[in-house]
Amino acid sequence: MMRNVKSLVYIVLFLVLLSGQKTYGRPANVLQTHVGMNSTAFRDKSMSPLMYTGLGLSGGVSFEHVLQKRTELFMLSFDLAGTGNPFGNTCELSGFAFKNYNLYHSEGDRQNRIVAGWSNNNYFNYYVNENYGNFRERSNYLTTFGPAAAYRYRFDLFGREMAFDMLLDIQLLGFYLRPSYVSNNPEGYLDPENSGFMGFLYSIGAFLPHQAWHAGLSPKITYFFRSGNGISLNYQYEYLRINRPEPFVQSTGKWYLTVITKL
Amino acid sequence: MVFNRDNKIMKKLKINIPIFLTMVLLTVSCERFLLAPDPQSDPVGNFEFLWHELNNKYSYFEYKSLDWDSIYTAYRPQVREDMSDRELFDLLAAMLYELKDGHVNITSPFDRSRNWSWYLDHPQNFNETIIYRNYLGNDYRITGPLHNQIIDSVLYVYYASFANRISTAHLDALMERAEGLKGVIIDIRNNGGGSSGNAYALASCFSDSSWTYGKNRVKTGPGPDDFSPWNTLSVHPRSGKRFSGEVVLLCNRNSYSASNLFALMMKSLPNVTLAGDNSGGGGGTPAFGELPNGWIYRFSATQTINMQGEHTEHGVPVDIRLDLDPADEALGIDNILETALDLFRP
Repeated sequence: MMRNVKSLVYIVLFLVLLSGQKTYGRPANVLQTHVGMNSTAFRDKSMSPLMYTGLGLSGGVSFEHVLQKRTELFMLSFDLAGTGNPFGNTCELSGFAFKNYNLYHSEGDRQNRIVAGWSNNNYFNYYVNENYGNFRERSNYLTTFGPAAAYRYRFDLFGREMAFDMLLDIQLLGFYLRPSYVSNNPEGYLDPENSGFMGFLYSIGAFLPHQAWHAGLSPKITYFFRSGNGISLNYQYEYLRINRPEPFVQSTGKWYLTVITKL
Repeated sequence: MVFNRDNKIMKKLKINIPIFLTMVLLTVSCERFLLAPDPQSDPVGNFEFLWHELNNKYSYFEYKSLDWDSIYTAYRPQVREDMSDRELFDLLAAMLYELKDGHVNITSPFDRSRNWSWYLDHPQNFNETIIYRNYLGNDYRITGPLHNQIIDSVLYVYYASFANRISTAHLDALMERAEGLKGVIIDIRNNGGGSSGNAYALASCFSDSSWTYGKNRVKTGPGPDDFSPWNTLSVHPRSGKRFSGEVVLLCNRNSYSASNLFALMMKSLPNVTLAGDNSGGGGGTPAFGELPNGWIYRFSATQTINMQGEHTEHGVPVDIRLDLDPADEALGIDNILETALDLFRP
């Protein structure tokens, strides 16, 4: 764990050094590397009626591709958290996500205006209840789509160029894969007659607004260097709820430090 | 000019301060407040939760002809709001005892409930002191958890608990020692279970071809008939050295859970004879849960049957049924082990 944190620090420092380089022309592609901490609360009723909360490490990379009338944003992130309940029982939680946004705007910059589009979220989490024996693991996967919106406000503060960004998304349609009623395995895989693909088909559930919710918001404040690179402080909040087979709810807030490198 | 510059700064501050305040407010992590609070942890709430969880997920009500509703009727009136933790624990333990299942327990910080009648109501049929003093001796090999000795050209192996991990190297060493001998005796008496993975690993030593030994299924919903389809269970021979000669497996009523599963695996092999007393049972794999007061409980959530469709919850029958003779025991003789050795003697 410490070796991974050290490697991440070296990468961030390298990108900070890169960000100080002067470049020319208007940036169209931006790489963002972030690391920070998360605060997570979740409850999986198939495992326990109690809420598990805790802090952990978060990080990831994202790539922003600015086109004439569209901005694409691809984000890869991970979360690790050690959680516990009020009675001292613990659960290790890890999560991985690949998100992408497509935001449409009129030709030119999307500064100081709300732009809208759509988003896609692919999320996998895995947790182990340390106090259980058999069937102690759980994992959930979802692929969802929904509308997204963003706002950017550039301003000067004491002679420095800064920006405030807000990114919002709500997932409305997709599918999920959850453990079965007691077993860690999704239900389709409990039937030995099912092949791998058929097991998947029989396991997936429809992610629909009356059965599942996923929404996120991400405000960010950025300080830009003269080169066009920058450094920002982000907060990201995500809420996930899936009602079947038994309710699962997860609420996560993350604070990041992000290094922005224009490519 | 000074006035104009101050105005510009004030204007920027008026715009930017709300933004910063929003950011500051967001520093107050509100993650847990968007989840419903934990359920009330009072005696009634904990009782109701446990009863309903088992009602939905326990796998042996029908097989054991248990009327769980009548148990609710009998125990619910005894729950009082002013009960102490100890009183609540004793009541829940008594309720769970009705299931007559060694895989059903509730664990509090101060105690763990259990039903051990599945072996306490039967002869012990095992004396560890005799085994170590008079059979293993003082030069037996400690091959991981497999204590073994060659007796009359037969490899005797005592495995005390399937919770103790068997590695590939342990099995290699054991099979190496068994090579060229008349047979192998595996003693799992008083082995209360552990990891089914260890049971599988050990069984895979005793056949050169794959075999099926049973089926299992798991609860998939709250209804009494909500089970997955039966899944056939099989063992594949290990890739390392194996022993395909005659094997005798010694069991008693305390050979429970993973030991019970191991007995089921071995009984399906033509070169294996089971001797002693029937294994203790425990055919359901226990799943775990948590009460609103943080106490952990476990319960059988699956069913296992042999290839003839018979449940193994109450044990696997042996081929040679015999009890430990008290007279022999007084002389330091384990007549069950001696009977097994006699099978190899001329």
